[in-house]
Amino acid sequence: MITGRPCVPDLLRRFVSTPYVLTFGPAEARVCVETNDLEIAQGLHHAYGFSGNAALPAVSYWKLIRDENAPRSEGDPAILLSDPLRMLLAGIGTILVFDRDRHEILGFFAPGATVKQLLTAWIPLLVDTATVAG
Amino acid sequence: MGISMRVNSTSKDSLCCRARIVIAGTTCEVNTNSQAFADLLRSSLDPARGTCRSTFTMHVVVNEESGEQAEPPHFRGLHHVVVASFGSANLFIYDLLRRHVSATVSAALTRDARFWVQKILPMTIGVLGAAVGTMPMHCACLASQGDGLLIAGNSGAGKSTLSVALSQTDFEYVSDDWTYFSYDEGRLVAHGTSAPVKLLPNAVQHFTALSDHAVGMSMNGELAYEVDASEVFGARVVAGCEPKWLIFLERMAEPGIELTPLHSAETRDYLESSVERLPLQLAEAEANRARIIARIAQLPRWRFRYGGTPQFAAERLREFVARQRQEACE
Repeated sequence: MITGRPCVPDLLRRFVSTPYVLTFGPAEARVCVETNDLEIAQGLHHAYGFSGNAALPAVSYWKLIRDENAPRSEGDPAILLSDPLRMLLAGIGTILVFDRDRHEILGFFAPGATVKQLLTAWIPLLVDTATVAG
Repeated sequence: MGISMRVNSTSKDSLCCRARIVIAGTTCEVNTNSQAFADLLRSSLDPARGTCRSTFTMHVVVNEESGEQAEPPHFRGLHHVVVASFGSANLFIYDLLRRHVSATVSAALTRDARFWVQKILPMTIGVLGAAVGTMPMHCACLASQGDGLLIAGNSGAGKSTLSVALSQTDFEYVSDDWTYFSYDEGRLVAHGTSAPVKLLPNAVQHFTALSDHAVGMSMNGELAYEVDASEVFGARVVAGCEPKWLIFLERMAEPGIELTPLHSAETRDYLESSVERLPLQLAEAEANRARIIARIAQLPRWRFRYGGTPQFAAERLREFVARQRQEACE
């Protein structure tokens, strides 16, 4: 008999539970949001849930994790364009990835990052179709 | 908007320098804007020749004006995407569905061959893993006449010290911590990478060659010696082998050894519980991995408990393997 069982930690935080799940929008453009942060869920619903947002390319699925274990750090955002993926990194702990083919935005928020920063700065930068390497 | 930002594009059109390399039996097609970096990869790693079992692509933008060294790593993943950063100047994004890696890195980082060969590239194959048909497994692997001996066991069981001790007999060294498995033409193959052998500080009592080296902080935050098995111990390092035997290593207080056969089902349960959980988006990779685990669990297998020095255990294992080989021939 083998003694003990290995414990494999979720180092990437792939499986953080996301108790806040909401869907909104008409059937032909249904949007699903999964998050572990009520403020993020409410902010996205408020920003995009009622009238939609013409400036936002089609995003049908969001998964956003408030990452309390991430380092607190500030810094100008860096963007990496790797079609069809776009990644935005703000500091070290805030990471947003937009998969244009799959219409998904996935990401982690550092402690201290605000929903206002997300909605007014980072998401517009991430999805801005005019953003090209300079 | 009043926000300053850096934007990097890894569009293939702007990355005209190429290198084709092999990592753990998997071909990596690299495109980069730096000829020096492409040359460094080619000179530091095995070049890919002909067709290979599996391939992934990597686009690397080198920021020639940046001198930032690697900072402590930060990893996160969701669904099919994994992101790694080593400070804000060194970013990697892994797309497991499309088998593609994109990165923007400082020029300083691309001059550090050891960092790429011993850290980034082994880490890359570990992240992509089953998505490129390669299963990373937490075990050591030694080879004798092309036949592989896999050494599994919980953390702290002494896989690395036993691997080094075996490599000082007539075994060849493949890996001490992570081994990568694939099927090549219906044959199970175990691959190593160029990762250094990692030994905890107390290993110096068994291997005096370590006294010339300093312990440092490893990627997982442990204090350890991380040294080249060939340079420090004179090990003969081989890239891969065909696994023939599997042992689960355990320690015991009293000197001696115990070898106990194990059931295939128990072995399979253990192996399945020892690999990281994969998200639903990677169902195909999960199925590939399950096939490889099932095959490994069919290898002849034993629990190996020992007390005493790693050199003592290595000698007993060497005798055991010789007996197994002889019995197979009879």
